Amino acid sequence: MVERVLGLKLEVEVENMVKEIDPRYMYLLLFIVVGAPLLRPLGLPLPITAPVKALYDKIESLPPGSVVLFEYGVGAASWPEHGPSNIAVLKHLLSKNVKIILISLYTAEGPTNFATRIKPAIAHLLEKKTYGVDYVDFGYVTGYETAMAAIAENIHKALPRDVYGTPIEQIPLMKNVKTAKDLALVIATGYCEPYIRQFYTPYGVPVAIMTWGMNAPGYMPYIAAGQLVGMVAGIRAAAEYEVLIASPGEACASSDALSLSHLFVVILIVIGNLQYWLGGRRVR
Amino acid sequence: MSWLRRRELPLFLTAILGIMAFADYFFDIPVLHSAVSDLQVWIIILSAFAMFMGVINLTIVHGRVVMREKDVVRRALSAWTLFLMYLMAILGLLPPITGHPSYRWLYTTTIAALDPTVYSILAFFITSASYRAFRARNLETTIFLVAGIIVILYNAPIGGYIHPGIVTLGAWAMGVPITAGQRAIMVGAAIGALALAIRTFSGRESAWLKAGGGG
Repeated sequence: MVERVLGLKLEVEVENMVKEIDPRYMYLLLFIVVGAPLLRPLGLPLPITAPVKALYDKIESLPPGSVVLFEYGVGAASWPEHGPSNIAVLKHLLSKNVKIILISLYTAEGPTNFATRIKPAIAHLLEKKTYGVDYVDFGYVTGYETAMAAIAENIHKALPRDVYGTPIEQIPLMKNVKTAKDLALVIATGYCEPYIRQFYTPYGVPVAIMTWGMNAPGYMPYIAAGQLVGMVAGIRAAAEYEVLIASPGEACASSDALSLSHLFVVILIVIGNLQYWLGGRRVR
Repeated sequence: MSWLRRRELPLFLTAILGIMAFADYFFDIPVLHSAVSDLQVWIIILSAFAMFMGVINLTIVHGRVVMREKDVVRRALSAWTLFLMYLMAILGLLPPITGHPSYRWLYTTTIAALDPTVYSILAFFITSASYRAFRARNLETTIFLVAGIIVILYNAPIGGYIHPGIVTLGAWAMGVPITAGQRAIMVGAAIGALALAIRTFSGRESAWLKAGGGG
């Protein structure tokens, strides 16, 4: 009798345990897990991954006077993933003696985000540089991959004027920059394939990418093949770059939130599987 | 002028121009380089014009709702959309070219705030979905689950803090099996794209000619 009662009780406990967690509690916990470290950072260590270090080393190894094409196509929606990496890499470039060609190919929002959010973050470094000599901005150019092909083939033909309407012939930086062969590095935002197709494969120009974190596994073959010289994928990689250039910013501040939210997802997966197995492997 | 409406004309132009661009990528022919370079600049101009066509299209679609729709809420929403679109367009045209302060203010306080908010709501769905969907039902899903957890922890700085082996294992997973799998997918997709290009150039693939992309 006692055994039957205990057995029944045990069954009820297991049944209660395998009940699904109410999504509202999950959402509340996620909100706390993401929000708390933003208010009170934990300062967890941040190991530097190879693709991020590779881009850092590539920029460090650029000879003085090298010309870098920097594509800052950051949209408002992807700002949390792309914004900090754009700022960190630009800070690094501006600290070196290299020439920078700025352009937005991925989105028409690029120039607005550059003017309102990226430029204020790098203003102190831009002040030391001369527009037209050390850097030039071509704003948004439509056509995406076709525009890339046209720029790689003949920059002066594809980009006749900069964002302020100055003819390209009057820009000192562009005097000796005619085709992709004159570029030492292309650093882009978004997807890497078009840049590999239009800059690396035909002209051998090294390409690096600042992309979404979810793209990192998909881009590993390009890293392994040397078609990408470096990659800053997502907020974690941006935080690594901020550490490398010793300039902690938005990404470092978010890195603890990222850690805890990922850990929270893993814990939920484990709980979900325990419930699945304890609940007689019923499909939920 | 009926020949202008025939589908053979765009198919013929696509085939010729496509083959020219294709050949230019692989062969060093100066005449072809020059012609394709011109074509590329044309496409940049056409793409810019396509954005203008988008504005006209939105005006027609929402204008029709404002004029004909009986539901007041729908009419109001369409009118509001049109008003905002033209407000942003007009402010965007005002000097300085890098952004009039009013345009920047509107962008920062609306789009820059709303876009990431909508995007970040995904985090809640992904969390809930990972709890419900990641089940070790059989050997394949167990491998998938273990690999997923390793990569999740590898991508989070806390992974290395929990155990240094996670970083090593994550780097190996990213560099070896994931790279191998991705290569297979990429090669497959590239062959598929090549087949699609050949079909398009030869006129066998004409679904893109139909309005709305159907077919």
